[in-house]
Amino acid sequence: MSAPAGRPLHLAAFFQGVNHTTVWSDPAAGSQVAFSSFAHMARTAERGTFDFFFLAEGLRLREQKGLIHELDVVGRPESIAVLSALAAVTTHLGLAATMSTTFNEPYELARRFATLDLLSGGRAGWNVVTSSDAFTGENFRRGGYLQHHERYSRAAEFTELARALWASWEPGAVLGDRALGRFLDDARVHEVVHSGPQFDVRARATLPPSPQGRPVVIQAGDSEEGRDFAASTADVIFSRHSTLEAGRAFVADVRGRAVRSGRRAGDVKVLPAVSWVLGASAREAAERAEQIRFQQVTPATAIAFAEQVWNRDLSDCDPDGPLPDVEPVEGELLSQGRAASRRIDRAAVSAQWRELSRTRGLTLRETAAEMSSHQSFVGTPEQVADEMIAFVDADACDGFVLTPHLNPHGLDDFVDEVVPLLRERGRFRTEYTSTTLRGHLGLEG
Amino acid sequence: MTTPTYAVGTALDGAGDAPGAWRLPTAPDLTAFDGRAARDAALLAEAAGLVFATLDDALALPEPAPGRLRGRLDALATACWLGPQTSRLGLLPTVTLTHTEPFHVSTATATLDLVSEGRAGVVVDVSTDAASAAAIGRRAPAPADLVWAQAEDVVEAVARLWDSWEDDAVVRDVATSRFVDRERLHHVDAPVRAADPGPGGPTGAFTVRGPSIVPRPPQGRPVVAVRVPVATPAGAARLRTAALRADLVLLTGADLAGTREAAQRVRAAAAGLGREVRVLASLRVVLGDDDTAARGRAEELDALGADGVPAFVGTAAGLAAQLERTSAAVGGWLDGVELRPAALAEDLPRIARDLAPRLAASGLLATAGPGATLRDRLGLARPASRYARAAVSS
Repeated sequence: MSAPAGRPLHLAAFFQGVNHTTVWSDPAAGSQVAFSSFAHMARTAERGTFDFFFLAEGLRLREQKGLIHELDVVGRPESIAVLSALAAVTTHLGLAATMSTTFNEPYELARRFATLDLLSGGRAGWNVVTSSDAFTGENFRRGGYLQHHERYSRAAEFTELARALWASWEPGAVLGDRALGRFLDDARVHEVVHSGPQFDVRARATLPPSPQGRPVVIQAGDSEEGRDFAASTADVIFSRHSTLEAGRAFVADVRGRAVRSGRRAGDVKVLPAVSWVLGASAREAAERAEQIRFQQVTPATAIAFAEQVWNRDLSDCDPDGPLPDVEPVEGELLSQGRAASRRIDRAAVSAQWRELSRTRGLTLRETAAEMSSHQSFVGTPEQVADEMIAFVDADACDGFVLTPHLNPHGLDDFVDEVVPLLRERGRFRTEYTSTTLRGHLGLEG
Repeated sequence: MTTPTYAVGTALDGAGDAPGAWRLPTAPDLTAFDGRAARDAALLAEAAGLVFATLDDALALPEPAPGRLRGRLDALATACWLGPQTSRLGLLPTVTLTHTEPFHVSTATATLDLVSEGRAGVVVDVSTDAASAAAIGRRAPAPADLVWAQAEDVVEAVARLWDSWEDDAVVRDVATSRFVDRERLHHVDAPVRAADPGPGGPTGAFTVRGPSIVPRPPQGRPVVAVRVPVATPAGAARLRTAALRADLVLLTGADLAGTREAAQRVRAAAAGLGREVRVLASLRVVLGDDDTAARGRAEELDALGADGVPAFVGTAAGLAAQLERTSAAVGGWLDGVELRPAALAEDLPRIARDLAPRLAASGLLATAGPGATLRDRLGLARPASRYARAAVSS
């Protein structure tokens, strides 16, 4: 099942909006919301002939101990609106947005993505997520709590319905016959009729397919159901398995699932989120990486992280002292609005923190920085390029979603210094050979 | 700082306001659904100095009708796409509120304001049709009075969310490691009043917790417009929503003279609620080099598809004279006009070439200063957030 060596990488750029890894305190940090910030990073990604630009979603501000979390970058524009604007200032770059199937309706969201897809000439992508908590639901008229298993059945039904709407205008449906006054051929505009556990819809789309046929579907779920859904449905999997060994295991697993669901192994591209730090020497890069980790994990952020793991108030702890000497507690969550806080195995993760702290003699803050913020690729541009290629050759992924630690200039050094090396090694495109996102990814329509 | 100014805008929809406009040999090609016709029209309107442009929308595909143009892009996304391609033109997409979550309406319109650097507005509308209701599949269609009453509450929720981040909420305070100050972020969840027919029926009273996920937009609040047909009776929920929530009211369904009574009704309704609104006529225009030519064009358009919508048919000079006479600044009753070119490819160039210079000469069309927001150009003050603490002198 291993892919042939020498295959090209796929690269995406992630403009992060709510997270601790975006360093806002750096003098080079710009606006998180100004259009010029988004335009700069998107243009940089396009200069680097990236496959796509990617935005995440969060529909409620995070809280900790019942209060809005203040330490991280927060506050971001609505994704499809931003990408529609970016479609006007880019020409080839794919434009992908994360959108919840829980807090949207299929007809409406399918129509918004279809619009982005047409305005961009076939460059839209949708990262299908299944947020479900009642906390987020409080921002919505309809509420929104779903049981975990219902999340994926809703996502599957939603995606199927969106794809039916995107395919509902046959080729030739748009006549534009001025003499006869027939703009559409209604025999080729099909009504989508759907009745299922989550949705009961009868609709005609208002738009034809775009030049790429339909938006690319991305998925990031990691549970059993999430992997099955992604392997059977998605064009791209946005993975969190960013180490070589974890990546190999994940790729083998989801390719197996894809084949079992009747697809070819290569029909799903796996792109883990990764970070990087460059330096003139390996040592310089390592030093920079450490500095960045301490910018990311301030003393206050270190305490907040420990509280998320321990699920208890640790405001009395000294960030430059030892780890808390108390045990984690289960029960009502201290931290709201983070998917990771719900999943965590507190006993195991706190044991990992303690092990790391003991064996390396690290303080609470140093431990938090190691646990939360260790960069994926640290080295000279040559080292980073070679290591990335090695990941793909080892079947640990098909490419990467790059997560800069600075907005909006965080992607600049990668495009200027690493992309040329990937190109020299024949592993990344030197110019776009397609105008659509589906084309960039080598996916069939 | 700001003074009321006469506002001249245009509609960008389709190939023009006349149903048969897309069939003219000069009409733009709309078959690719790529937004280019709207962009070309927006650039022409901007170059002519117009203040704003509207984009129509509806959720569902209309039923088949002979000669009719059908199918359209989402107007809000299209307006966002126009944002970076324009620099002075206000952008007002129609957004239907009946089926869409208030939270999404608020964040997407705030984002239009960001990507256009302060030129966002929204023409709020409702859906009463069965096709829109079936396409969403969450509620049965409901009568206009009910959905407009709900729209009044949705606009309130949307505006509270715009206000939920104070302007200075992002503090980037390195000393305390805080990116935001939570004291300047606000829940908005006082219940929003609504008549609620109960489960299975139209959605009723609701709360939205907030705060928004988008910081306060450049204009504080994007400009809110409501279309009101001149025949709307005084007690209608639509009129109340316009009087209570709108910055701009667009009067439809009449020629200029025919908007007089409705304008007074709208102003009286707003005054009764302690507000002022700007009242604009929304007017289809068919222009010609002389009246005979204009009438010939109107007949040609009617032959391609007639809908009985009143229109101004005549010369640019004649239209300019009517607009000047009916302007509130000289004792008339209108604060501006949304010109709806009957055929975009023919009437918008005439508006740009023949009408706009006349309006500029008579003071109805002012040049935009650099960086002017839509509010600036309309003479509307930037509102403070309702949640902002009283300024503390230090």
